Amino acid sequence: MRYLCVISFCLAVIFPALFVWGCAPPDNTDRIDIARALSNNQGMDCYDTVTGPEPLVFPKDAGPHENFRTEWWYYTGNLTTDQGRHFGYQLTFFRQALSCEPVKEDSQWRTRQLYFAHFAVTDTRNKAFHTFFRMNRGSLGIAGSLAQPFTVWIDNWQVKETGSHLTLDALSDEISLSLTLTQEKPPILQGERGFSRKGPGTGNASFYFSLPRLHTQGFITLGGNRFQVTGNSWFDHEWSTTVLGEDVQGWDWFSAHLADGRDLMVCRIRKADGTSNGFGFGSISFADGNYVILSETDFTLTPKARWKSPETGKRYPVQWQIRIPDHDLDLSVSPVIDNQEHTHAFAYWEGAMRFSSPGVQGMGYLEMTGY
Amino acid sequence: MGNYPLILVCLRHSRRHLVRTLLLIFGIAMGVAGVVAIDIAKTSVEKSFELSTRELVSRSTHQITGTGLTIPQDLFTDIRKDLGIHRSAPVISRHVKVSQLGDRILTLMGVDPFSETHFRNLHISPGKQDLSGIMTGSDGVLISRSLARQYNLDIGSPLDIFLGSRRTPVTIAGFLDSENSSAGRMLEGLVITDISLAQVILEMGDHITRIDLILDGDGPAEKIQDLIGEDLFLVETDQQNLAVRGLSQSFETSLTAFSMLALFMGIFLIYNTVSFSVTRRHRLHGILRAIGATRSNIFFTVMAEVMVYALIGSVFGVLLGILLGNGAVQAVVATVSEMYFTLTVSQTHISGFTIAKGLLAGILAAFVSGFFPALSAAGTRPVSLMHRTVSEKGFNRVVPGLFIWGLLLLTSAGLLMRTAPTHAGSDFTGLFMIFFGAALLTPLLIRILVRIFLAAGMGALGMMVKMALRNIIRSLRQTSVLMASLMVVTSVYIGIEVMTGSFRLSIIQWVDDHIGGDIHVSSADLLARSLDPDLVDKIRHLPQVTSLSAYNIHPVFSRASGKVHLFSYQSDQSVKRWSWTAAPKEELDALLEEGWIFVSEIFARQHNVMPRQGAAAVLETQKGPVSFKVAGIFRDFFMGGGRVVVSPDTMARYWGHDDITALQLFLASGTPPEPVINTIRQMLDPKDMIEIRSGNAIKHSILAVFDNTFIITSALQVLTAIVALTGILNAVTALLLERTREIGILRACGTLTSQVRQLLLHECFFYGLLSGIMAIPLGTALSWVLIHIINQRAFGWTYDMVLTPGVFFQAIALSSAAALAAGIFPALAAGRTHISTALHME
Repeated sequence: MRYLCVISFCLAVIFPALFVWGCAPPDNTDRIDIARALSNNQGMDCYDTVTGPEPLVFPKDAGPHENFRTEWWYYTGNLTTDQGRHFGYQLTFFRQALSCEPVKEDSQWRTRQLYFAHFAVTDTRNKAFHTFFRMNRGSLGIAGSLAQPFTVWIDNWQVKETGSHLTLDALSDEISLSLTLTQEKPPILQGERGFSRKGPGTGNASFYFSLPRLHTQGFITLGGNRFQVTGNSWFDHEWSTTVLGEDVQGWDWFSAHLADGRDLMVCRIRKADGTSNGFGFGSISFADGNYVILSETDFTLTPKARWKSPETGKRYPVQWQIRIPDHDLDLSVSPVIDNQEHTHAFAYWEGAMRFSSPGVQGMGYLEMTGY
Repeated sequence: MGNYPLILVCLRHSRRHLVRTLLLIFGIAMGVAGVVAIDIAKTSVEKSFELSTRELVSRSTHQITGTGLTIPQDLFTDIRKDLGIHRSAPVISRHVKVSQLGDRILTLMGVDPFSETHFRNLHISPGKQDLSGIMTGSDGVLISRSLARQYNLDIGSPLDIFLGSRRTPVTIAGFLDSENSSAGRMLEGLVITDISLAQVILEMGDHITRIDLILDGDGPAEKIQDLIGEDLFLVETDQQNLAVRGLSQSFETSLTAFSMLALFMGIFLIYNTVSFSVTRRHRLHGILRAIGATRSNIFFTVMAEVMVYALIGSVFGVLLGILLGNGAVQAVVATVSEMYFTLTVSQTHISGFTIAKGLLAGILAAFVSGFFPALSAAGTRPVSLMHRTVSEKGFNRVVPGLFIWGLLLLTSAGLLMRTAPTHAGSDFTGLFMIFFGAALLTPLLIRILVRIFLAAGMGALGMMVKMALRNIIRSLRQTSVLMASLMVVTSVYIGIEVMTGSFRLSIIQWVDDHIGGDIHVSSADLLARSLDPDLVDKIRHLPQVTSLSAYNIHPVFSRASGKVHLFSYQSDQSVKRWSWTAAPKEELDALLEEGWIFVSEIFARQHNVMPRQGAAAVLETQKGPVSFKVAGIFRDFFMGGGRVVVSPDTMARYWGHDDITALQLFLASGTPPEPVINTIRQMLDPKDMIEIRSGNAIKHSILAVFDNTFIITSALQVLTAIVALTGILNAVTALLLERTREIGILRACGTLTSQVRQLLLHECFFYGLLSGIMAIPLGTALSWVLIHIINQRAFGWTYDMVLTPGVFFQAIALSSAAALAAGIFPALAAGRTHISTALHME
C-alpha cells in the first residue's frame, strides 16, 4: 500500500517543480491534489499497467521492474537489546520512472529512473524519532537496484543479498543501522497470487508480495553508543503504473508480528469523506508459513485516540482497535511513542506499534497518510 | 566673545565672494567624488566576484578538482557509495557566450538537482513544461527570469551557446527565480542545466569539472585524500576563492592610490583657498581682535567656516561620486574580467561605509588643510593688522627651515617606500610625504629660480618681466603655496603620462617579442584545441613561410591562483626579456630540456618564487604536486595566474599534452600576409574551427585590452586636472584680488590699465613656468613610484621607465597655460580698479 506515499511524494517534489533544484522542502504539498494526479496518466503510455494476475518468479521479481513506473522495497521492524531497550526502524527505497521520452545515451548521467529512500529510527526509551531522506538518479551507480544478487541502494544506504541473508546498512550523521535479515517464512503473494487490486478502475492495482517475518540482528549506533539488537522485520515489494481512483484521500496500513507466530497485515483506503473505498486488503501468515488473504469484509479498523503534530498540525489517529472475528483477533493498537511523523517534502506518519489483545501480544508498524 | 556671531560675519564675507566659495566647494566635491567613485568600483568588484564566483560554490567547504580542470565522474559515485559523504555535489562549469543574450559571458553550470540540497538555492519555475526531460535527453536550460525579460525571451525560446566558435543550440526550459535581489543578480550570470546536458555540450565524455563538498572535521578530508588519485586535488573553497580574488586586489589598491592623488590635490586646493581667504581677512581679523575676540575665537571661526564648506562639498562629492561610480564600475569590472578572472555579473554596490568614507575624507582633508591657516589667523596681532609685510618678513625667515624639513620628509618618504614595499598604506603615506616635502622646498627653490632668471638676463626682457619676477618673491608666502600646488598637479600629470607612455612602449615591445609572427593560426574550438598535425605540416611547407613558432597552451589548475597557463614551444622564436635568470642566457634552453621551467613575473609573485633562493615552484601535475626548478623569470604581460614555459617533454610527461594548439608564421620580408591567410583558409575543411589572423590584427587587439586597463587611470588624471584647475583658478583670483591696494598705487603713479593687466598676466605666466620646471624632478620621482612600486604591485609586471623631453615640455606648457588662463579674469577685473576705491583702503 505504501506506493501511495511514493507517488504522492513524487508528485509533491518532482513534477510540480522537478526541480525546486536544491530541493528545499516544497511548501506547496498541501496544494497538490494527490488523487487527481494519481489518475493522471498523460505521457506514461510507455509503461505497462497491472490489469490481472501474472506468475511472480523469484529471484527475478525481487529486483526492479522498469517497464512499470513505480516500485518500492519496504523494510520495517522492531528490535530490542539484551537489556530490553526497544528500537523501531524503517528503511524504504522507491523507484520512480520519469516521462516516456527516450533516454539519449550521450551522457552516462542521463536516466529515466529516480530513487528515493526514507530511513527512520524510533528510540522508545528517549521518546525520540529520527527520520532521514535521500533522493538521487539511477545512473552511474549512485542509486539503483538489481535482481541478482538482490540489491537496492542510494549512496551508502543499501540492502544487499549475501548468501542466505540480507544485509541492511544505512547511516546518517548521527545514526547508523547495520542489520542482517534472515527469512523465516515463504513470501506472501498478496491479493490474487500477487495481483493486488486498489480501486475500481482498470489498472488501479499493483503486483505485491511480502516477506512477513525476517529474523533480524545487528547494530544500531545512536548518539555515539552502539547497541546490539535482535527482533523481527517485515518486507514489502510492490510495483505498478496507475494506482488509485480519483476520490482517494489516504490510507491506514498495519503490520504486526504476534507472539504466537502469526504475522498480520491489514490496510484500508480512505475516500475524501473518510470512509473506506471498499478495496481494503490484508493477510495473516501462520507460524508454519501458510497464509490466508483477507478482504475488507474480513476486518474492521476503528480509530480511538488522535495525536496532533506540533510541526504540521495534522491530527493522526495513533490508537486503533483491529477486529478480525474469523481469526479471533481483537487487537488494541498503540504507538510506542506518539511522534513518529516524517516531515520531509511529503508529511506522513509511520511508526512502531504495540498490539495487544486478551490472548496475544505483538509488535508491528502503522502507516497513515492523507491526514 | 561668542563664536557664533563671528562665524556669521565670516559666512557673510564668503557670500560676498560667492564664486570663490563655490569653487572651494566644487574642489572638495571633486576630490571626494574621486574617492567615492573608486571605492564604489572596488566594492562593486568584490560584490560582482561574490555573485559570479562565491555564490556559485555557495556553502561548500571543499572542492575536488583536477590538474586539467576536470575529474572523472566515477569519483562522485565512490564518494557517495564508498565514503558515504552525502553532502557532495558534482558540478560542470565553464564560461560560455550566448548570442541571444547580447553575447554576454555566462557560466554554463551543469548540476545534479538531487545533490544540490545542501549547496545552492536554485528556485526554478518550469511554467507548464515538464522539466523531467532534461534528465532523459531534452536540450532544455534554465536562465534567470529577469535576464530573459531583458532580451524578450520566453520558455521555449532557442539559445545558441558558444564556446569559441563552437555553437550548441539549446532551448529555454524554465526560469530561475530568486527570493532576494542579490541572489537574483547572481542568477543573471548563469545558464543552468542538468549535469548530463552540460557534459554533452562541453563534450566532457566521462568527466566533470569538480565536486563540491561540505566536510566536517578532518576525518572525511583524509578519507577523500586517500581515495583521489595524484592528479586530483582536494582544496578548501574559501582559500581557493581568496587565491583567485587576490589576483586583482593589488590592481584595485592601485586605483585607490590614484583616487588618493585626486584627494591630495583637493587638500592643496583647500589649503590654498583657506590660506588666501585668511590673508584677505587679515584686516577683519585684526579688527575683531581689537574689539575683544580671542585667538581661539578667531581659530574656531575660521575652522567652522571651512568645515561648513567641507561638509557641503563632501555631500556634493558623494553624490557626484555615486554618479561617476557607475562608469568606474563598468571600466574596472571590464578590466578585472579581461585581466584576472571572468565576472559574469557586474553589480554596482554602494555601501554606507563608502559614503561615510567619502564624507570623512572630505572633512578630514578640509580639517588638515584649514588647520594651519586658521592657526595663522588666530595669531593675528591687532596692531599689525594693516601690514602684510610683517607676515611676509616672518615667512622669509622660515624659508630655509622649511627647505630642511622638506628634505627630511623626502628622505623619510624614500626610506619608507624602500623598506616597507609591501604595504598599501605605506604607499599612500609615502606619496603624501613626497608631495608635502616637495611643497616645503618650493619657497627656496622659487627664490633661487627667480634669481637665476634675473641673473640670466631675463630682466632685460622688459620692466614687466622684472616686476613680475620680483613680485613673486615679494609675496612669496602666498605665491609659494600657489606654485607648490601647481607643481604637484603638474607632477601628477607627468607621473601618469610617463607611466602610461612607458607601459605602452613596453607592451609594444613585448607584443613584438612574443607575438611577432606575421600570421597566427590557432584553434577556435575551445573543446578541441589541438591543430591537425597534417595541417601544421602543410603550413610549414608553404613557400612564403620562412620560419614558424609552434607551441601548445594548456590551462591547468593551480592552488595559488586557481589557474595557470602552461606553454611548451616546439620551436620558439620569441624574445623574452628576463628580469632574473639562474644561469647565463645561452644555457637556458638546455636547462629547459632538463626539466627546469621558466615562469612569468606574475606567476613568480603568485607562487612566491623568490629570485636567488634556489628558486623552485610547485605545480599541480598529473603525478601530484611536483617541485620544478626555476631557470628564469621572464617579463610578461600575460595575466591571470601567470604563465609557465616548460619543455615539450615536461608537458607530455607531467600533463599529458603533446599537441600543437597555435602557430606563429614568419613570412619572407615584404610578403603581404593576406594572400597567405587565404591560402591557409583554402586548406581547411569548412567544419574546421580555426582562427587565422594577421600579426597586426592580434597586436591591435592586445593593445586595445591594455589600453582599456588605463581608462580608469586616465579618468582619474582628468579628475585630478579638474580639481587642480579649480584650485589654481581660485588661488589666482584670490591672490590678484588681494593686491587691490598695490594696483591702486600703481595706477595712481600713472600705470595704464593695459599695463596692470600685462603685469598680472606676466606674473601668472611665471607662476606656471616656475611650477612646471619644479614639477619635472617631482614628476619623474612620482612616475618612478608609480611604475616601480604601485604598478608593479598592482599588476605584478615590471617595465622600464622611459622619459622623453616631450613630456616635460608638455607639462611646462600646460602649467604655464593653466596659470595664464586662470589669470585672465582677475587681470581684467584688476585693470578696472578705480584708483580712489583702491586707495580708500588706506
